[in-house]
Amino acid sequence: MLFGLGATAGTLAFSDLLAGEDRVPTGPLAPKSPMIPAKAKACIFVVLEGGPGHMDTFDPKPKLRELHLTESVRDPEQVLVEVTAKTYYVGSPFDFRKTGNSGIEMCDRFLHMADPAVADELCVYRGCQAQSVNHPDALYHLNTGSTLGADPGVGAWVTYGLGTLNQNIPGYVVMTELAFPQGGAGNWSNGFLPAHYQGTLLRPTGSPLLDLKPPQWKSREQQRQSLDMLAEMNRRHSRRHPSHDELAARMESYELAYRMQAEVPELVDLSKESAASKDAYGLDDERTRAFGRQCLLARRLVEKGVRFVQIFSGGWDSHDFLERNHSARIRSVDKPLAALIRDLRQRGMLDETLVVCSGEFGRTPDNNRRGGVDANGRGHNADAMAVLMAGGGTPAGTVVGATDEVGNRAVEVVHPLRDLHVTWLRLMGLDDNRLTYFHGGRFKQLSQVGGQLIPELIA
Amino acid sequence: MFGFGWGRVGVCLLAGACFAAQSAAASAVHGERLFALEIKPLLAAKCAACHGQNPGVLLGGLDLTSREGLLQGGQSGRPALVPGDSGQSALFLAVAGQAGDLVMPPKGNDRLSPAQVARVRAWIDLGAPWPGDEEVAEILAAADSDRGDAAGVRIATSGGQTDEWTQRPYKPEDIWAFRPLTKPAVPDFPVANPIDGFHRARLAAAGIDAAPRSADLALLRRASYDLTGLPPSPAQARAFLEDGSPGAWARLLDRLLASPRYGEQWGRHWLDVVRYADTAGNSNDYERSNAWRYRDYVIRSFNEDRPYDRFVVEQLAGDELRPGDPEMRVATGFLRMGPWGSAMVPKKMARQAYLDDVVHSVGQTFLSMPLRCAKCHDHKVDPIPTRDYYRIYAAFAATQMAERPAAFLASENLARFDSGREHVRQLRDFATERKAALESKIEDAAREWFAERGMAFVPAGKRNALPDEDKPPRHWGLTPAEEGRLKVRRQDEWIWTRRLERYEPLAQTVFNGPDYIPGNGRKLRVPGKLDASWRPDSTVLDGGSVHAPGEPVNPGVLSATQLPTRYPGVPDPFALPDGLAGRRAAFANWVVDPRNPLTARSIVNRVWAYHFGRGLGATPNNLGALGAKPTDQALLDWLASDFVENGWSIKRLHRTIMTSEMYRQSSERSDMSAVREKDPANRLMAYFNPRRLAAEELRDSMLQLSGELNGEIGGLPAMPEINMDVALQPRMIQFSIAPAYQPSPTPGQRNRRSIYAYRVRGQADPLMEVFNQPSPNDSCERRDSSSVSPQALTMMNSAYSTNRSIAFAMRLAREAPATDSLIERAYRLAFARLPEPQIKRRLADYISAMEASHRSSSPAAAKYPTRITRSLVEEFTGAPFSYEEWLPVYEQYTPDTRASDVSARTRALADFCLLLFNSNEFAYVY
Repeated sequence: MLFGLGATAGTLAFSDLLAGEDRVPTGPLAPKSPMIPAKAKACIFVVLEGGPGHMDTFDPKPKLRELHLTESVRDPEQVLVEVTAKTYYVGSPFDFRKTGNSGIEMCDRFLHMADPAVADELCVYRGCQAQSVNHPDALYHLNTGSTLGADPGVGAWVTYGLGTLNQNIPGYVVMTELAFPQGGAGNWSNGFLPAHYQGTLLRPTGSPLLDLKPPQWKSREQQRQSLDMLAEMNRRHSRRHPSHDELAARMESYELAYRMQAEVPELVDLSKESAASKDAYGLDDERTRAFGRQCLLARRLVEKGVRFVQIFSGGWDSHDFLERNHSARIRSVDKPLAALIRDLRQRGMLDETLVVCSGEFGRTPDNNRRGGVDANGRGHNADAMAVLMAGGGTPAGTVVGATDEVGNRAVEVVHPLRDLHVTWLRLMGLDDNRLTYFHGGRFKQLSQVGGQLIPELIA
Repeated sequence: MFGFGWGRVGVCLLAGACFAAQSAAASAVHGERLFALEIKPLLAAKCAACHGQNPGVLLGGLDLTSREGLLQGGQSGRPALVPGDSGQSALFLAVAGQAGDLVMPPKGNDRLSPAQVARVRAWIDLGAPWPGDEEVAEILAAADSDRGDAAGVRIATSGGQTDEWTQRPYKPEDIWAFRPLTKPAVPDFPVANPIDGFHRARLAAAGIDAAPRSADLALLRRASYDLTGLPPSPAQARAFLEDGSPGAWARLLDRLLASPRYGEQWGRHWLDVVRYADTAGNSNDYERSNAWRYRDYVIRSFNEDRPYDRFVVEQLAGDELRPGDPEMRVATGFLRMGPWGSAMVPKKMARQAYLDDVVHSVGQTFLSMPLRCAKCHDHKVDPIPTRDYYRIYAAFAATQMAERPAAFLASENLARFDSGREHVRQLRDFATERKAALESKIEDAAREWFAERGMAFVPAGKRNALPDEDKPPRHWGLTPAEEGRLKVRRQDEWIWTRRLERYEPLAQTVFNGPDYIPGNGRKLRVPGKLDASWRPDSTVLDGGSVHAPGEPVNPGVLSATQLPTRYPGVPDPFALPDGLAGRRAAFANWVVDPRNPLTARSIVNRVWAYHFGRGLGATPNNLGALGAKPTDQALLDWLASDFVENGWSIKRLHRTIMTSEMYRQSSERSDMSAVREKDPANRLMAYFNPRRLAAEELRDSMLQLSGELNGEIGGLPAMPEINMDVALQPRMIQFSIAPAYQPSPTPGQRNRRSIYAYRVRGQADPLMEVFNQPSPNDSCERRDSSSVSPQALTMMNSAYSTNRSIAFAMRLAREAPATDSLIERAYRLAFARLPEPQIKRRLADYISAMEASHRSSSPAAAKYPTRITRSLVEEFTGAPFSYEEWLPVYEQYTPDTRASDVSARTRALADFCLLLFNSNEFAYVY
């Protein structure tokens, strides 16, 4: 008997519970078969908040160097940040080179991602187009499929569709680097789906889950006594209300909470990780520690059966000092992200784990004067971006799609973001058109209105 | 009138076999009729969006908008249609699911019904005739006068983008809500309340009896929670339970409806629908100072039983109808409830975002007809043409957002204005000082920079225009961390400066004028000079794009209601005035016209849904074809008619509903399994559906039990203690992170009812959020009540519930010191009953055991930080930096009584109290 219910347990409503972990899980988070055979069983979604410059990371534009500081011309109907001042082109401060056997181009600040063992696992998609150039709207769009900030996150849809493999820990876990991103928890909300599918925030410091532990003056033994007493009161109550299953479900949620108290601290305790592993993820270096910890935890969580992990790297919004910003930001993610992909491969998990890494939009090839000087930075651009994928049935070592010669717009294999969402679900064995939920008088879906697969992103 | 009205389309029931025996000529006629009445609308509704209707979208290269396209086929190279042979026609095979993996339409919920599939087959087997537009129009006109088997009804509207749409038939059950509202006769049963007549009739048809009446105790809790969101006090319980006289129930309802707690509970429901919050959301999540005045207006309106028609008109156009009345400016705060911001967004699009939000919200809130679906195309299933969407859009196109002067009302709570203002000033000054220090550091460095080059010093304000080489670089003289701090302090100064508006007699409201979108983050003020001759350019926006203005439109209403506006002198029956002012007032008057078929049904259905857990039309925000069909339309229509006839009184509606036997049924019945076999979802309401308390009800009830609830009404947002990790969690806003959350300094101020708690779109109170309080970014018609483990963690472990349990324990120890009487007192307070002797003994043992083990524990005293260090990744540098934030509230803070302040005995009693808070009996209403 797992964390038994005390000597008094035994009514019908509780017989289920007593079987503990051995029984086949039921309920809203029980594992479900995919709708379509798929490779990816889990997903790690890395959000680079603020919008990295695609032409400064994975989409080289030598032409921009030629045009550097010459006046740029904008299409008034293009969805770009509104500027009234004159704009000029900005060449990337970084050099690029081909990496690995596949020759994927990366800026030279990526040292670890450039390792052929990592680079050749990547799929760089350059054809995606977002919709909004406002951070929270665009983040909501990337994370939930809608700019309005009230829809379920991708992870909520995936756990709704597939359930989760470990019933003792949350199925959809979220971590942020320091601050919450713009738009806050709406980026991992269950939206209109039942609360079971909400992203659970794992905190980097203090209690990993809110209120995971009782106050310091209560022992675990006392808590067990209290839960047993509560169960007794609830059983008496249930006898007077025999027709209502929700009472038993609520009692069960208390026992699961009790099990989580034991499992979650262990899960986030990195002290037993090997020195080599800590070093690989950059935990020993101030500059990579915060993001490295998220990457290492992401791997551990997926290993434990978490279905969907969403992690954030903040501060990519480089309007002003692109070289300084992106150098530091790239350095903070380069080593941990490379370690994650390598680690997943070495553990034989990469084929079944889809890694998606993206900003909420790309950036403009040009900029305006800011703060009274020529600012070597870039504005927001919803018409071009670079999305990085790895594992989970994506074609390794490929570049899909292209942007124009200055990176202003996607021009090849061009798809709206919703098509990326549709493809993403497909990689996880879910059909966007069938993964629907009736809300507000309509069957809603991640893509909002239905979309197309991007076959080039499926190996 | 234009001859709008209800047309009928007669269509033969079509089955393949019925055609075989007919002559070729007759077949051709039937084929053409079939095409005009069924197949053409079907192709348009189900196929054309991806196959030919939209330029640039031709999936699979297949065009299904012409016969030629079908015959030619798509990328497969095979024709999609072989006239006369459905078995060889890919079109039929795909819709019938007989083409292997290929099933069309792709979305499961769009698939054709078996009857529709049969019609496609019949049409193909009849040779797939495709008459021209004129012939189609003739067939449709002829069909109008026919009376065959009804395949559908046509609804006249202002007209769709295509004739197919305009002419398409609807299933009568899909457009029930657009039908005129008439009062049905009450079925003849020996009952006192008409509701029971309808209920009995439906139960009788299903062969089910009504459940027995609930026990008085359950009824008491049900009524208390439904009307006030609070449990009955022991005195209230005694008054009702011991009153055996016939009028006891009615008197209980009267007392509850007269309580100010009533408006707080029902105001909460309304605020869910309209998406109330105290901040604007979006990039900066700026405070909408004085938004609380709208919240209090809503509460006041419910408490005063303001007639619903007036309530609607005031929220849509109070400012136009009574321009001098400050309360009306507050009321139109409704038009400011959606999340909105203009950061980085082109102004035209920011304006469009506002109007789209208003149109959708107005339709959803007052008409239960969400309109967003008609923004880009004619509505897929409801009779709402895109033209109507943009006509309603035009009705609001002169409406502009602003904070406007509105004198405080005598009834408004202005407590703590002085102390609040002082608190905000302190924080602003703190930011200003630090900002100034950093700015002067820049100036010192700049002075040096100019001096080193032998150049004359140019102060910061004048350096902008200089060429880059003639001035120091940006932020010259600051360390990278200081660059970040400067941004934070500047943003904080602006945030606190804006926050001072809380204490000004302003209202978050609207005005009529030319388009007005000030720069991001600026205050919204009515501009000094308004061009009274300005008129919006109102057109359909093709595909919903602000860059694609289409056909011009006039302001108007939903034509499918067939309800004309009262705007004389214009031939268009659904037009509204097109002056700068008066559009909204005319629209509002149309909404509350007693003949409007949607408005009364909408509100009556909402009220019903809050009482029964489900509406009579099951989706209160959507009475259209996609909403759940009404379980009892006759009852809904009777209630709606009765509601309008009797002055749109919501309190009267509660009485009507709650005095019915249907409402008073038990949640249990001895033959439950037999009933569930017949009616698994309890659509017939053959027993009462229990409900879990909403987040606010849980919190407020804990406070009532602990004796801490402060019944003060209205005023500035209350700041309860929230989880400290969340209160201090940094969250990004544009340029910076938002200031930390600081609770109110005294328990009395913190322990207000939850409806008065500060609602920040970007930062939910985790206690509320975990118990399914909805995000204010979307309208909520019904709360989710899933039980998830984080709820258990919160209720068992959080500082909030622990502190309430300690306060409850202290109250009990004061009022009934001996353990036995204390347990009894607790049960009376929590459950309005006495505990059974056996459980009482068990609880007494539990308390002794806990007390014994608590003697060896030593709780740590709580700490409240006055200065905290926060960090974020700076965008200038890409590296993290930290800065200090001041939390002055904790310098003069009256904390809740904590475990460290009380004895082991009290801690043991608190454990017992915590069990009560966590019990199912506390959390559910039956």
